[in-house]
Amino acid sequence: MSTFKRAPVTHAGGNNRNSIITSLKATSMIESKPVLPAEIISTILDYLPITDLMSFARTSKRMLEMVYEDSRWVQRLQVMGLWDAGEARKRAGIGVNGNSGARKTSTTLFDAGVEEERQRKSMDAAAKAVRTSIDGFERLSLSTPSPAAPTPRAPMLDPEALLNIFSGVRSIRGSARQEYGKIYAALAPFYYDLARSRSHVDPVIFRVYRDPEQQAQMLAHLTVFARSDWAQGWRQREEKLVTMIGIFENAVLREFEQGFEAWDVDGKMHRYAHVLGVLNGGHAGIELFVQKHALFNDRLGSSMDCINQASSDNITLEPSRQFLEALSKKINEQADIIDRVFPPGEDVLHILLDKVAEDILMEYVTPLFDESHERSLPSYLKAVSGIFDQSMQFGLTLKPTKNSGKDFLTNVKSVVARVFEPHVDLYLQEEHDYFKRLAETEVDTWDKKLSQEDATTESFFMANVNRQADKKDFLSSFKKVVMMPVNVLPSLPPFGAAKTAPANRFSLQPAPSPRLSGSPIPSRPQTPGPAPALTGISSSLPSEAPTDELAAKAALMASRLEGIRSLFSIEIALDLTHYAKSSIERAALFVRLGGQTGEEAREQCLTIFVDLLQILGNRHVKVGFDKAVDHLSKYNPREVSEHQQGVAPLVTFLELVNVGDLISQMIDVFYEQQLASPKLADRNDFLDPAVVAKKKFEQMLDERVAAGLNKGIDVLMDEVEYVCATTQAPTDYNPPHSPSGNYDIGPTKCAKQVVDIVESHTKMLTGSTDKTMLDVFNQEVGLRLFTALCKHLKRQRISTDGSIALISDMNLYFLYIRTLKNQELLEYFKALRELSQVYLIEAKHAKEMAEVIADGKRFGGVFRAEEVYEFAERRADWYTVKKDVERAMYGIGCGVM
Amino acid sequence: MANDEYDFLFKVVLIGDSGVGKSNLLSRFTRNEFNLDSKSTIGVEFATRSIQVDAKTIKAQIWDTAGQERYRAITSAYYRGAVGALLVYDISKHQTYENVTRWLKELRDHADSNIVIMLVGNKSDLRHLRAVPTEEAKQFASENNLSFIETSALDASNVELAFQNILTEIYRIVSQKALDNGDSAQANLGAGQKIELTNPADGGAPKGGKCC
Repeated sequence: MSTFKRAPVTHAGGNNRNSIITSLKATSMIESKPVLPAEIISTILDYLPITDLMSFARTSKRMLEMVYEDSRWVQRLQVMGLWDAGEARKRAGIGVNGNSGARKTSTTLFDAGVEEERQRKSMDAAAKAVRTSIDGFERLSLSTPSPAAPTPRAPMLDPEALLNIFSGVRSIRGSARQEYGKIYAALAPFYYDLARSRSHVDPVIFRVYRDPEQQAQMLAHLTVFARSDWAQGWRQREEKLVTMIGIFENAVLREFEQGFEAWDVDGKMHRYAHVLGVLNGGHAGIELFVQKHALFNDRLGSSMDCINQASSDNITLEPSRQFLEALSKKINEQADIIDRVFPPGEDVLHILLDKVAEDILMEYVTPLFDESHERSLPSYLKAVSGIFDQSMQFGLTLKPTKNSGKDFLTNVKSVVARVFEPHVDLYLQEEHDYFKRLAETEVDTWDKKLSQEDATTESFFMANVNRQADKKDFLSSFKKVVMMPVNVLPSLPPFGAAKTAPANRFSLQPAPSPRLSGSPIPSRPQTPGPAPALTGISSSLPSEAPTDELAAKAALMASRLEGIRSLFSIEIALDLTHYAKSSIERAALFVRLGGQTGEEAREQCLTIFVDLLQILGNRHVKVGFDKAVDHLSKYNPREVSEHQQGVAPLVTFLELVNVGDLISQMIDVFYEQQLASPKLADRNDFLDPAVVAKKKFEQMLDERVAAGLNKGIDVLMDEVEYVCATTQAPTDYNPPHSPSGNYDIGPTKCAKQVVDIVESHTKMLTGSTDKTMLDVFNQEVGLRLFTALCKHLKRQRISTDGSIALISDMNLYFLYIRTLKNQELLEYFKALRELSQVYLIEAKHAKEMAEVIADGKRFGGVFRAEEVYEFAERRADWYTVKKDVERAMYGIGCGVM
Repeated sequence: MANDEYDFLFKVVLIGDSGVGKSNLLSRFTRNEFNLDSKSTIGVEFATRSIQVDAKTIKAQIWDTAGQERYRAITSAYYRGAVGALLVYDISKHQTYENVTRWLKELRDHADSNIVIMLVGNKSDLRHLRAVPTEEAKQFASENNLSFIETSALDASNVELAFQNILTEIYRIVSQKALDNGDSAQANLGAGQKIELTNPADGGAPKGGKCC
């Protein structure tokens, strides 16, 4: 704006000065002074119809420039979606060196174009004038200019060529106007004609083109073209166009419908579907196809069959499988038809599937779920997860059409997901509740039974059981079972295979694998092959074996561990893990859905696992351990009338430790197989609730074990002292003197028994707990045994002859301690061995005995001289040697006296 | 506790330097075991095994001693009542052979004068490391009126034989003696009777103390 304001001022002063420059400036200013500012003119130009625009361009050079402004035309092309900025840039880049030249040539081209256009416009105007009066002359007026204009555009007027007008459009900077001109020349006559026509028979377009395909093509072009028309009255023109298209579309649809009813797939349906596709994407046709589809009128089966065919409170998924199989077959047939009928571009199958999911699946599934939910929870859970799995497989069997993109499977998945979405929340909640309730009742029943039986029968010592091997054995079979493929659900056999090779189909079908928990096996059709017996055996045996094996092992284990049955049970743990396994397996199916639902399903799986641990841990194992520890602390060897090989409550406890360890390892395997491997849980994420719960459970177990062991050592030592007190005969170490020295060698009964007791208890723990904890336990046991032995020794009288028995005993203890592989502990028992030699020394060597007693190095620092002296006092002949020893040791004695 | 019937019970001691393989000889003879990395014996260990000689059951009570016992009071306790001794050396270590003389002296000092001694060159499997010629040892043995044998506890060669020999020898002496003093009650030894070669009166009376 400012330049225009300043201009008159300059001009006013310019005349007064005689400077050449100013006068020159003034001159130019006068000449270029516009009536209206350029911007306003430009804006006005925007609203002019093309013909007026051309006339305006002819008024002056400046106006011409304004009208010819490239961006004006680029804008129109852009609106029609015909301007490719990238292409334009590329073209500009290519012509860089000859830029000015190119421009020049284009300028000449301009003129030619303008000329031609102008000519055409005037013709049009003339024609319009004619047309307004005589409606039947459009064709004539259209064809008249063509011979008159000796331009290369002549063939454009050929109606066939016009059909592809848009494909010839190029995006060239600087020549947008020409490109637009071409389009305008081709389409404007039809467009304006259409706008003026009163009925659908009037427009020339329907006369020029007889073919519905061509008509549709042109109408589609016109729709695009109408977008570049924003001159006055465009709204009415466009409305007109839309109504025309509507009329046309209706006619085509009618044709299509007729074809549909006659099921003329490759004829009418194909043809008119394409016409509709060309016209406006063919939505109307697709809609009609999907809406009127026969698929929705067929009843493929009732969902209630699933309930009715099964025994009470149960559900069979066979009808649903058949239903989905039939549905899949039908849809695949439709997919073929869709390929044949519809033009490329629109994913008709997807739309059809949407509708199928909504109208068929939804209606099939919802009443079934509601009904089974009311009837019984387990069958509901089975139904939801089972049908979901079947639906997913159903999705996999669908064949994509040519139009379905690469994400066909994802689309199908999301369609299935939409069907199940309303049920998932309730299902997951129920699944979790169901598991919790089941587990809790299980534990409660156990508790009740326990309180009835009372824990009196718990002590049952099992000898010669190789625990570690048994456990390993048991665990390996447990692992095998857990690792088995999902077997709680019947899976869909491949649909196509049934027809072609029945035998083949049977082998593909997973063999029935009964669940350990004893829930009924989903019934399954047997499709016998040529040799049913043979295939049946070969296919079912391998997968069935581990389950049976585990059941057998569990029974074996249970019978062996019968003694501790009443505190907590491995069977319960096994049952609980199996409930959890089936629940998690069912819920995990939904994880595949992904997104929020999948995430929720994953979380629910973790929650089930956490609950499993809590119920198993706090309600079952912990209570059992507490009871065992309680029994331990109440134990008093003197009150027990009958001494068996082991300390009953300690044995019970140690067995519990074993079972606890077994359960913990089971949980570990379970976690790895069910949660970590299928990526339900991240084992490296320390905040993961499952990991936290697992850690807590293990910690709880460790704590109980530690507490129990603490008590257990006390009890064990009580028992050792009791055995020492009761079985050690006074003559063991002080045999009646026989002149012939008739004695035999070897450890005494007492020592053997003590070693037996301690050894059997420490052995029971091997491999059941943490190694460091075991080491601590062994060390403690060893030290306490040492103390007990010292105490015991100080109560004995030992003669020189008896010392051989003592040495034998000490050697036996030493041998036992060596098996613990604890160097520190061994030192103590070494010292005991050395100590026992003191008793071997004959009385006549009393003086040297003193030296031995005082030889601290000999006892490895375990005993001080004073302590050894105390032990020496236990010699049977002490009072005879005492003087000599004391004299030698302290320099006092009767000699001094 | 092997409380089975036996006709004679002989106490035999195993002596010799530390590390010559006494414990392994014992375990090879009594349990047929061999332990390559056995630790040195602490104090003393006992083992028994019965063998048949002339239809008599002879029970051997073998004392395996630590080779480095310093106290006479203890070693003499080892020798007390022993009727046989296996003096073991290592054929691959000359020093252990040299010490045989010292051990002989100790035996003469502490043990019964009639004790039957057998010189045993152990580890005969280590042929390539031999440091003591067989002939030399044999010569030495005959000079000192000992029986001699080379054994290997590792491959079990001659172990059985060594014990057999010494026990048989003891048995011969004992039965000869029993014949000699036929009048004594010990002529017909009952089961479980032990032969004392020494006179019980000899110095073994602790009661006769030198006190005041």
